[in-house]
Amino acid sequence: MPMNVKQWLPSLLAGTGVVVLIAGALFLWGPWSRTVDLDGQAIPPSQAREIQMYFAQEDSPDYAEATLVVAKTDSLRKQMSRLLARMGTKTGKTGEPTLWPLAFKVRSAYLRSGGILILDFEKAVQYNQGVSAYTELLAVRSLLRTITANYAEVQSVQFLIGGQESETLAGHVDISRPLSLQDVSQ
Amino acid sequence: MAPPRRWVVVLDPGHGGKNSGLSWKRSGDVSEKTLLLQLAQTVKTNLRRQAAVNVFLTRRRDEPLSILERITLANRKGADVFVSLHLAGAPSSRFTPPRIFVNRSIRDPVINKIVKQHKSAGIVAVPWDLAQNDQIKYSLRLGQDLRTAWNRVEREGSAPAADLISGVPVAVLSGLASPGILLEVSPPDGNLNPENMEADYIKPQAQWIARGILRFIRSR
Repeated sequence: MPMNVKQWLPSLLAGTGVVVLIAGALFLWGPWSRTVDLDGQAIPPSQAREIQMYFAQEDSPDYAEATLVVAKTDSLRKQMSRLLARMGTKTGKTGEPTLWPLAFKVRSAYLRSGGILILDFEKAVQYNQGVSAYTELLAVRSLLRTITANYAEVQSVQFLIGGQESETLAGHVDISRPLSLQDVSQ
Repeated sequence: MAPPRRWVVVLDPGHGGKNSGLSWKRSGDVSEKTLLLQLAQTVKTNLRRQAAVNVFLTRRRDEPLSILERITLANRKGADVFVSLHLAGAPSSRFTPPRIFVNRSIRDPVINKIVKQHKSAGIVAVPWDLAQNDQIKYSLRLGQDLRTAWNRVEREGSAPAADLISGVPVAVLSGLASPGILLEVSPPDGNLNPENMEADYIKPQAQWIARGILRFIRSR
């Protein structure tokens, strides 16, 4: 005897719900979901780009390394924001380096002729960064090494604060001119 | 007979005003800017006790001072030696040796071209950006003398040697028309009683710094 709609509809809905839940769980478990952008949105594998990060170390001439995934489709500003956020975040994982101690937010980022990346930071957090000259130097060195290694078109970086040229980021390293990696390496 | 020339030393206690530098809490708030001012004043006393030198401080109280103002003061005073004082880190139980920074030499083809044009017109001008270029070798020697003073007096065979870091962009040395270094002094021991700061930290640090500066002056 054929079942009427009232009989099979609840079963169908329940079945669909289970399928959706399983699919959702698989999606959350899947490796692609571990890569999210700054807004927490997942980066599909086809749009993912691996950035190799380099962290200058106090007691060694070698760099510690870590990997970051950004979306190819993201603007340069968004990629730089993500990079800086990761460099300043303690992940808690063993061996995961953290160095960038300067709490700066990226205001804008764009490439100028001559391979100069203009990296413009928010003004509000310039003072009282509370880092030594050496820590500041290592932070700038890490950032320049990471950017020049991953963005072949960039040869040097001109830091700006609030859209203006500035003397330093935290009181010590001269950023009034564009800096190449060579400029901050001994 | 003209009296012997008095050397001019400019000491620059880093930070000041709302730019406190490193800060830490132990029996009250302490900050880098306060400690460096005390240190600079004690180095000044030591230098004047040991040699015929004129010593100036870029700041004599807690006041904000831009990097440009610090360099301008040194150039205006006709400094023979410039030492910008900073801390190598906040106090901790881990010992950090001093670090001595010497500026890089700036090559700027555009500015060099302008200088050449001026020269051919009989005008001798040193652009602000390149003022430190001619002083780099003396700045290096000053750094080496400070390092030697630390290594001889303070290490006592166990503490790590001072680190000399040269050829890097140091803001407070750009535009400086005299030999100059940025000196990151070892921070106080994290367990040091604040009441003993003067005797156990400031005085010993000031002594070796003054010795290093005098060593440089006497070798010139």
